[in-house]
Amino acid sequence: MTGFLANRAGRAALGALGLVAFVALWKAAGTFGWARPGTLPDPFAVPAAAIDEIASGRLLPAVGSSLVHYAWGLAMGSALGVLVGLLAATSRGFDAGHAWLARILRPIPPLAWVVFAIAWFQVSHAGAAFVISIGVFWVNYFATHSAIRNVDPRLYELARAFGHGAYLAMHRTVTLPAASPGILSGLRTGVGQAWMTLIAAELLGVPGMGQEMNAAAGVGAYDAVVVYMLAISLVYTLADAAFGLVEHRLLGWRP
Amino acid sequence: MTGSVLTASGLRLQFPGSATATLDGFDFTVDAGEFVALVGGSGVGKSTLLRVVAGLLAPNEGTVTLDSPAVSGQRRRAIVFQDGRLLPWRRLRGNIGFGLEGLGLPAVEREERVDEVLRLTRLAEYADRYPHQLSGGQVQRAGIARALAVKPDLLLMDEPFSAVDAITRKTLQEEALRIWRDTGTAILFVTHDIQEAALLAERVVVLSGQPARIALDQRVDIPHEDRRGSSDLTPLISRISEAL
Ligand SMILES: Nc1ncnc2c1ncn2[C@@H]1O[C@H](COP(=O)(O)OP(=O)(O)O)[C@@H](O)[C@H]1O
Ligand SMILES: [Mg+2]
Repeated sequence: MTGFLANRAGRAALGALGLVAFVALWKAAGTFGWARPGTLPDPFAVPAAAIDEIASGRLLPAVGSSLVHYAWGLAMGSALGVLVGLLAATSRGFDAGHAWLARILRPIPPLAWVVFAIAWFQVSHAGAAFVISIGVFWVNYFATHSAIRNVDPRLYELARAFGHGAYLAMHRTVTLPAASPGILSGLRTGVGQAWMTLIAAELLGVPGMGQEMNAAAGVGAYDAVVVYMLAISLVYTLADAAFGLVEHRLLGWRP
Repeated sequence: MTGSVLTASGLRLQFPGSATATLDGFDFTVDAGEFVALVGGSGVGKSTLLRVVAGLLAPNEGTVTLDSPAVSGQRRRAIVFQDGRLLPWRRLRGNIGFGLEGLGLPAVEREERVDEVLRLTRLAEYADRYPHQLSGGQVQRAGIARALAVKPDLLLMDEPFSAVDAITRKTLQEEALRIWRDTGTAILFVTHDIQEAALLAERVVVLSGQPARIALDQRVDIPHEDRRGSSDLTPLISRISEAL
């Protein structure tokens, strides 16, 4: 058995088997009526529903619209999170000045900001991007902050010994590269976190996959809901894989 | 070259929370081109003194003066750390050029200087490797190369060979002597190894006590070629041992 698992094809076969078992269970749940009638779509109806969503011109614009929120929310949240995390970890004054504020704001869930998103941005792309950026911000803030705090202090001594002791020189030559594995892993977590809040942020009515999902559920088209769930999974997987490649390139120096 | 490269006078250093000072009223000079070994037991304050001399630790009292004239494109002192301390994300070449950045040298000259010290330390073939692809001895040589690249008048070395195996250490000791002769820089070499001090130095300074005092300051006039395996060193070694 362990020999079988050590082998790539063997693991792939087991993975496929797990998938088949899940679909079989899902199909059985429908056939034997384990769920409330009309709430569990037939797994075999999903491909047809996917074709229908694409053909009707709903799926792709929804994906496009979601990607707009996603890209803006992710970019804003990441940039600010890394910047504030960096300032907090490298400037004692900034750290002290922001500490209480961060402690108060941190526990507020991103979705609690939906109220203000609507008030400030109405129902708009900007509102959805704003909500998304909040979750991403915190992920990156903490990842950057702790990555920098964990930089080996001996490297700072090295920097001072060789003429890189000034704030900008030191953080450019030592802090950023030394903390880059942690910062990048925060950014990558943000890529996922943004997706998590995306759908909920769109439930406030901004066009996108979340809204289409809500609309489909409203008319009992649960097979279409599954189509959107799978579309979300696919886009996330692609985004994560792309990020993984970038990360691998940037961190090629690691053993 | 004559005269001194370093004058430290009246140094006092007490770490916060420590009951006694590590250095107190400490005076010390190094002459131009001189190879000085600084010997002492663990915890006596050798690294502390070196860090003060390197300008990495401000003394509570006293002054450290570099006596050689400042020359552009040069740093007057450079340090070699015990742990090699290369930046893991830079290739060897980038690590060796680290101290040259910010000296206002044109890129071409920086590259030339790096190539020069790569040759001097016999590291040229590893120039494009990352630190984790180097052996312990190569990492130490890289630390030396990085320091030499800035053309120091005073090279500070903190137990640079204590973390490598005995065979590599012997090679590195020979290379240190060769580099010292080739470059003419003064070397302040910290070690807890009496044998090593006796083999390398023109002058052995022994630190002991708390605060650290100079217990012995001894010139060694035996030519370096005649030292290894020679019984002429025996009296020196026993004098150092006594002072410790
Ligand atoms: N950063 C520090 N903070 C407090 N005490 C220190 C620090 N660095 C060294 N010491 C203390 O100063 C003394 C001298 O240390 P050090 O110079 O490292 O000794 P060594 O001669 O072994 O190099 C030791 O007692 C050590 O514990
Ligand atoms: Mg030491």
